[in-house]
Amino acid sequence: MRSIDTGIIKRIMNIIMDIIKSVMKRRMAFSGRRAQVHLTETIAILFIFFILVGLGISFYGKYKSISFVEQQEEQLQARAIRTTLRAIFLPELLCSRGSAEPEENCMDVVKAREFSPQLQDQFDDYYFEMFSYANITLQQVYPSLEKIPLYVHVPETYEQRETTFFVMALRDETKGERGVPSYGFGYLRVEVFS
Amino acid sequence: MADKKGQVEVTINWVYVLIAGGIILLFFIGVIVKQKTASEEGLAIDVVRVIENIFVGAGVSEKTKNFIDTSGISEFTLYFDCLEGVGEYGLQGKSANVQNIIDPLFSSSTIHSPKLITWSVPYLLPFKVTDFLYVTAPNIKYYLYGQDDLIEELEREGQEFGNIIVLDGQNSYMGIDPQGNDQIRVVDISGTLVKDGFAVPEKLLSLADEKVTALVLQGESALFFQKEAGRWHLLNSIPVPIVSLGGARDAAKLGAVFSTSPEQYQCNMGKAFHRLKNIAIIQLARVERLAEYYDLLNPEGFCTNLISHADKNAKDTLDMMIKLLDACALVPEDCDYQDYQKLIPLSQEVEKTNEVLKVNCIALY
Repeated sequence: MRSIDTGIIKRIMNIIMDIIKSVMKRRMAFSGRRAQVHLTETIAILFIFFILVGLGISFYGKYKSISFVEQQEEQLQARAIRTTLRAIFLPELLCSRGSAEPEENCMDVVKAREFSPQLQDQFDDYYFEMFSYANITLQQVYPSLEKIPLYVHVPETYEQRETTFFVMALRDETKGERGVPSYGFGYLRVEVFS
Repeated sequence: MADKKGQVEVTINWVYVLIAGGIILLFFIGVIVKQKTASEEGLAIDVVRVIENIFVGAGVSEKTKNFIDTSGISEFTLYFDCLEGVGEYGLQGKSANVQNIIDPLFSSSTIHSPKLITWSVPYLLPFKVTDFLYVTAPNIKYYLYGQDDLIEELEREGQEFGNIIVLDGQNSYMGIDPQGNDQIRVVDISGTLVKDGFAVPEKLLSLADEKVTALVLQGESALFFQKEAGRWHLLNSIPVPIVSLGGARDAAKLGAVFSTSPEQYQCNMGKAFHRLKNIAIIQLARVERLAEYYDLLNPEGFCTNLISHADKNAKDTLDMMIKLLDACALVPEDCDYQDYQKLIPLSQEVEKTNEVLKVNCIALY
């Protein structure tokens, strides 16, 4: 009788243990799934975070490249102004009046014709420092049409070009009468490249 | 068991969040630091570019005085240098700078001021060579002493600047007070106040050595001094000649007044001599065209003679000028700065010929 009881108890115990084991197994499977869900969540968050960072970087890059182009344009315009200023006030070409102040907005045509042939050998260094890549031409309109190239240094390829014009009086003393110089007019065309 | 596991999980989660957050924070801090450095460099580039534009504008227009508000960059120090014919200026401690081999710019080695003063004066030898640009500031005080046209002129012209003071004697010289100014420069025409080894006025001892400088102009040469251990120290053992034709607004002399070092002065004058060579080449070419013109009109005439046949005619004088400048440009080692003094008699000759020519012929310049 006692051994029968013990057998029954053992069986019941085994059944309980089996139940516990199966419950534990289920719980383990459930917690594994939860971890998987956690991991997927983390990956998704990281993915979204990196997408946002990537978007930010690409927007910033785009903004930077646009502002860089704008900056380049501004620089080119500033250089155009500088080059025009330097060309207009070039002491080599100005209409001098002895030690007095030179005539404003005036170029001596005789000097202008000699500028390029005489100083060509310095166009790659000295005058390049002054004008960089540029094409500076003096165009006489009156009394006759005459184009006097002053400085030509055009790059083989360029992205941008800025052209400015400046009206000038043109003095030619060899054309005057009785010591009075002859005056014509024209314009200075300054093209700068980048 | 489950509780302990939960606790560990929560702790790991927090550690993970902290590490990830820290990394993200570091990333953004890095980006901000990088951006700060980049924007500072960008600002320095912008400032230098703006200054360059201002200097070009001020330099090409004759006899102009400009007052530039630099209060936005007053915490920075501007530096000016010139070495072997290359001028350089920019903000101290920043990589952005401007190098220039064309325009002569005379100034102190450094300027730390919320305002800049620029003044351009044409350099004539005898025709216009270029415009000299002088850069100074209200907190650089110039004390002038002596009886000379230059002193009177500087006093008159400098009234607008507000930084030029004329000394009336030894006592006022000894009493010079920096009064919070950044730099002090003494210009002595008499040659009695400043000599090598003479004591520097007592109140100036508080300033750094490079902030106290002096110039002695004697005849047509200049001596540059700097304070060293409380005494004046001569910077150039050989006097630097002033290559000019004198007269009012002597640009070369004014250059010496505004330059604090003999090297910077000679370097900037070197730029002017390079330009002079080019202008003399154009002038010679023009004279040749004038000679052709007069040869057709009257080959034996007065104008033809002065231009190309007479003793010391315009063509020969200009040619000699070019040869002298060419020799110095080709072999600078063999050409002493003193050699440029030979330009003075040649320029005077051109000036004389021009005076005669302009009465009845076409002037040279």
